[in-house]
Amino acid sequence: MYFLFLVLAGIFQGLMISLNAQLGNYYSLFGICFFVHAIAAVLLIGYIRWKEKRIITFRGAPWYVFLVGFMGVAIVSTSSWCTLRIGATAMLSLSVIGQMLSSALVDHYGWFGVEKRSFHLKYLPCYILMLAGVFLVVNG
Amino acid sequence: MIFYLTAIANGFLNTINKMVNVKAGESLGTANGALINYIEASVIAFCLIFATGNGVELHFSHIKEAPILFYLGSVCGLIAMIFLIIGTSYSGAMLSTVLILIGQLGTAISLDYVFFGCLGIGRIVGILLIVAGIAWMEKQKISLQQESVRKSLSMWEEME
Repeated sequence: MYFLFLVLAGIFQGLMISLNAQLGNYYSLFGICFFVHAIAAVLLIGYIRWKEKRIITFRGAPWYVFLVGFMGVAIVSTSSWCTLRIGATAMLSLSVIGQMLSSALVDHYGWFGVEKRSFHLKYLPCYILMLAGVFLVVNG
Repeated sequence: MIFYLTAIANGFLNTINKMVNVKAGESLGTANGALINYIEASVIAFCLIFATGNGVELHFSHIKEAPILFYLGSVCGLIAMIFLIIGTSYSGAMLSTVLILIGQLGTAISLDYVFFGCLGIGRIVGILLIVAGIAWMEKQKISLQQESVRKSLSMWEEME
């Protein structure tokens, strides 16, 4: 049953990226960002106030947490921009490669306080397989 | 080429964003941690709309032009977050990564067919290779972790 939840999470994430990109036919990149984040903010405020019955506070967070907004705008605008030009499949596949490479860097150097895990040569064939897959998606 | 590089950079940013969001969740709680991202991004995007001279986009007559369905992307994002929290708490990292990717890429390829009309056997094989590569890597990570645990256990036993 929980496997189904994970597949559904992926399906809704894929839907989100495609629907956001379709908004690009009506709005500028920052227009898309505004609607995507503002609608989610209103829904989440409702959830916190009425369901969780908690006070909304941002006190006590480290300074760099306040940079997430800039990253949110950059992520939504670049994904919508790319999806409109190269399609959702190619965009997602390339983004996955970026995520795998950056995760390897974070693990290798222990950034953000994560436990250091050195890059191992055993991972190399896996990256080659993924790159072959991305090549097929982009050129398919 | 610029789109491909930007898409890879998007993946880099996604990882950093996830790590920062984890820190936000630790200090503010999951919901408040996510809310800070949405509120900040809304304000920044709002300012940038006017800074780039696109203020007309926020007129009600313009907002009505786009189908309501297209505004539901963020609702899908929130639903995905709920499913993700429930699903990952009951399954391992490897299985959750692979299943989420299957869902994401499967949906992307279906929607590309709907919106752009493109579907090919090469793309499907490509997606299968990506999923296989990630599953293989997660398996390698688990076996390397188990190996290091075994090594430290045997060292500890030798010391005793």
